Amino acid sequence: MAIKYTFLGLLIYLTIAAYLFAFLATITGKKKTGQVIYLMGFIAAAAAFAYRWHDVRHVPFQNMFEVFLSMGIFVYPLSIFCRRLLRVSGEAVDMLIGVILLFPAGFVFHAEPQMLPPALQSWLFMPHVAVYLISYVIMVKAAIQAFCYLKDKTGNTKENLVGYEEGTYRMICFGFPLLTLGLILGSWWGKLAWGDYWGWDPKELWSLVSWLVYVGYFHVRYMFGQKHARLNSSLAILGLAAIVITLLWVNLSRIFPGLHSYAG
Amino acid sequence: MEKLSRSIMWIVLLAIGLLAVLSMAGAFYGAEKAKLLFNSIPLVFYWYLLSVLFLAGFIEFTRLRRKPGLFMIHTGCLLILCGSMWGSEAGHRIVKRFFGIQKTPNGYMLISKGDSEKYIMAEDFGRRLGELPFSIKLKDFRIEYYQAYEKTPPQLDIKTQEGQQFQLIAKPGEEITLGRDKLRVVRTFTNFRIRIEDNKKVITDEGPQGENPAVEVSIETPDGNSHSRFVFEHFAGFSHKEDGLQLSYTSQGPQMIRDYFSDLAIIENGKEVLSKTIEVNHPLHYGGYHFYQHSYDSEMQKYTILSVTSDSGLYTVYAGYWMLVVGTLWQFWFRHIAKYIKDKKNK
Ligand code: HEM
Repeated sequence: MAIKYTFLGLLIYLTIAAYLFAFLATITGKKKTGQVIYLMGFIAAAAAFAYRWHDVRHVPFQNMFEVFLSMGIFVYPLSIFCRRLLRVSGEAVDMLIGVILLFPAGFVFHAEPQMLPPALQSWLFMPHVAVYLISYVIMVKAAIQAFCYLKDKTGNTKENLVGYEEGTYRMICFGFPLLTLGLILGSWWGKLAWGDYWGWDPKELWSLVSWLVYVGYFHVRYMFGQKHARLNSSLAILGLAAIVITLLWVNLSRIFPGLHSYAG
Repeated sequence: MEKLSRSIMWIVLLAIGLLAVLSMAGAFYGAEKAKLLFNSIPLVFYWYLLSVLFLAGFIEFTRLRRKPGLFMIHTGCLLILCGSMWGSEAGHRIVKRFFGIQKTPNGYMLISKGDSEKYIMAEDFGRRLGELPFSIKLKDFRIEYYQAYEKTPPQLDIKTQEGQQFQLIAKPGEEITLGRDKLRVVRTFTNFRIRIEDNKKVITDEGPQGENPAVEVSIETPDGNSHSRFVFEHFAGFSHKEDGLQLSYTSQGPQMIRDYFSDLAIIENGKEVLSKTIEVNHPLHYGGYHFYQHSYDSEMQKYTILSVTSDSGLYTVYAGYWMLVVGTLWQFWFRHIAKYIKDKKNK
């Protein structure tokens, strides 16, 4: 744990503070104020992202610091999109997710710029990671909807928003094509870089597990519909657990080395 | 749901769950063991069962055939399954047995600069795995390096007999006065070498990438005498009797590799039919094989190591990939967007 006394660090802390205040304002009923601060937080996050991009001279998706930094900016547009178009609630919680996602970037991971090793120099680098990071944020929202459903089945039907079970389903429908695309772009890239589209390395296997959990979710929901709605929700949460392991695997265990080890 | 449909769906759920559990186990075992696990006989049965399940699904559920999104998703998965089975080692053996086509699924080639090679070897180069119907020539091999972010200038650290410390930028012409002595940088080397030519020692710089960075300095004493010394980065300084100075040199330090390139040519029947420069992420495709930049001679840069893979089944897998992607986008996004637009228009 260390504080970053840099301009980039400052922008990250500003974003964290803004997201936090936006959350507090929203839950205390000052929705309008919350919205404005949330937007300001997003602008600070976008500035941090752009600054980092300029600084390291490649899209900042290379290491854990950059990955969490980037997820911190996707939160805002996604929560606006989900509320307005998909009618899925959870904006206040999204602000908190923003704080949680930026926390590791601000305090845990080191920010030393690194140059891209040969294997990462591919046009597939950016879309592969971008698509994954966006889908991860969406699946976090799905898991939160599912969690809310498990706690409170009645769900919210206020403000024209859908209930939690339907909310979970919509989020997964939104995120699944991106998750699929991420998996396939990764595999395609692996073919170009290492000569194999599938190397059975732990990171690949965990990303397959995450994907399969959502495949399972769809089939369970098709088979049983709302009859076992708690099972549906549990699968959505399980999917997120698999995603977290996929993302942190290299950091969680250095005992199982694999090709993706540079992602640490 | 009818009984048969229900039974099929139960098997599908079990199959998906089983694959997830095995993948988790594989992640714990590590890539090498996982690969063996997923290619083992019981797993071969599993892959066949899964393919049959897809077919059963298409027969039993009309929606899987009629709904374009669902059709593409499931067909895509089936194609990936078939393509990867075809491309596996067992798939290669079957193709050889029944169709007489002999291809090596994968292996490595080590080619020295200027040489041609046609044999595919095991990773340790101890065993020959197969032979290509053509040969590959390595015309040249190059490495490119990153310019360091903040270029630190090469530096000379000086410690006098009295324990005083000085630093000097190691650029030819730079000078520093140390008490009564004067030290001047004469020349820097990225790769210092001594060669014997006509019984005389010749000092050369065999750059550009230094395995032996060094600097030559000349030290002038007050009586007008001067002598020169070489300071090597990797062979730390010891003090000279004459001047008692302890010198050490830091060049830019090792640079990070940006990329490496092999200029290859395909030789068929004694004629060059194709030439291409490959690098990491940019392989060569010829005669049913892909050739990848895998590794190289890190000391002398005299040879390159290519990894070779057969392309059997690859395009089936790729077709499956794109069907799967388009299918999920169709099923979960476009259908809804189209409906949204239609509803808006009707309003
Ligand atoms: C691992 C491979 C599989 C994947 C990735 C997959 C994926 C999917 C997806 C994404 C859906 C859409 C769910 C929705 O719209 O709610 C779906 C539905 C379905 N799948 Fe699969 N599936 C797989 C294997 C199978 C197999 C082997 C069968 C064969 C019986 C099957 C039968 C079905 C059926 C019947 C539906 C429901 C269609 C409907 O909504 O009416 N799936 N699958």
